[in-house]
Amino acid sequence: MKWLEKLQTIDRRIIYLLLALSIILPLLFPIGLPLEISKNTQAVYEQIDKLPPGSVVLVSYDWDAASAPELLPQAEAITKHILEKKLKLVAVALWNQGATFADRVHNSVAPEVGAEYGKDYVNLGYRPGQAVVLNSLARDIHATFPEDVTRTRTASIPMMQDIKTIEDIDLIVCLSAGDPGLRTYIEQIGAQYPVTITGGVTAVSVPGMLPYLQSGDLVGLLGGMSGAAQYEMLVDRPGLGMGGMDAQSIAHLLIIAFIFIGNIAYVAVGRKKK
Amino acid sequence: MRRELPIAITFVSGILFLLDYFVKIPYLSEYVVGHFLDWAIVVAAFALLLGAANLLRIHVQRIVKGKKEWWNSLILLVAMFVMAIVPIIWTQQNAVYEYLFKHFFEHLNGTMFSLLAFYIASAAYRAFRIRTKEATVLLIAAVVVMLGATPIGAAIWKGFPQYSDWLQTVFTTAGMRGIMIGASLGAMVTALRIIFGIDRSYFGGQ
Repeated sequence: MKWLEKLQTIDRRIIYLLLALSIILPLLFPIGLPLEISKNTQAVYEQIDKLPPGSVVLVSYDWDAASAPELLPQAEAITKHILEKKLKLVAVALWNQGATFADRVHNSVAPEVGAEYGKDYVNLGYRPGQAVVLNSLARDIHATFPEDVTRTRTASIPMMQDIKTIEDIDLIVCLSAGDPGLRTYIEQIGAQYPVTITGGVTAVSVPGMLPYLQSGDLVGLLGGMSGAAQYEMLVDRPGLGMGGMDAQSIAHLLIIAFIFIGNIAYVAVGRKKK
Repeated sequence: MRRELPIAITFVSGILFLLDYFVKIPYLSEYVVGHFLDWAIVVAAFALLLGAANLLRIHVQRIVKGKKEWWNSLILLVAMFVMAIVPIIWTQQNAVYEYLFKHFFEHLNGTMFSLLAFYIASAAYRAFRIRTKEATVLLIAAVVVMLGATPIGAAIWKGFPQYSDWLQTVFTTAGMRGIMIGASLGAMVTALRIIFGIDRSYFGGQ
């Protein structure tokens, strides 16, 4: 049958159009599919939640604009949790665009929780050098990041007076889209110093992080937009993560539907030829 | 000396870093290795500068020679200089930089990555055929993981997230662990070859 053969070769423009609609329509008209909190997301939440006020959390922005839809909502939800708990937040970046995103997250979250720059949080910016930066940071944060993004000397920032080496950091939260990123922190900091490392990655990076989760080198992990949506639910701050989950669900379903259509036609045509 | 000196420096610094990774020796770790790290960051910063200079050279040549679609090179250079100079002079919290980053760069970069979704959808439809038993297993695993990763999977059947998790924590992790151990062993061997001067490819053409 000709129509079965046609089903195997649907014009790619039709696929593109349907995929675009499957993403746009749920964003415009949310379905509100129920979310379940995974154990890895819960573990990240608990690591931050159990810290006493005044503890220091290093948040590393190791991603670029391409990964922002997944990692920006993660960063906003985690930052809200950290600042609401009255923890001290030190933001750094191993990717050059990370520092700009850190600013954006701080500008969005800090006014909500009444946090003050220099007292509750600081953005030390980007340094090139990848793994070397982490080794250097562990020894001397002020020497590795002599100025923050506003060009204020790190040593003169009030909250940085007592934060000088990795020993002054209570938790590392690395949000990464690849290398250098979470893996680099585990290898360069986690392997040498007794500090807990947690974080979030893009969905495509999750498989690469699973061995570290099982070995205990990494405690908890946010995976892609799904992880962001779950964390937003935990901190009661609906945002881009929860908003995007319906679109992601329908897009996945559409791709599966296309795969099934292609295979049904393939099997039917194959049988007919036999 | 042109060969011996770089090999000696590589050997000493390599051994120092290796030793420091496992044992923190007072003074040596703090001052000697610390200074090496500072130098490495400076070298990395210069590498960025070198990359920018190389980009400048290539695209200036394209513009000067009036090569095909030379205006793309001009746009690239203007964008590169504006995005570099504005934050250097007025910090990254400057309104011009923030506007350009948010309204131009971010969308352009995001669009490039988003296009992948369309190519993947089209490729999955065309290539994911149950031609063999192995392909069938792969297809079933892919469907379970895709549905398990989204809320709609759990809405259809509660088992999707559980089986997705099982597939990833057992099979995927085992595979990833194997790849990681293999790659790590390879990296160790390469590092030792460089430290002991067996691999001299970093000399570049000598």
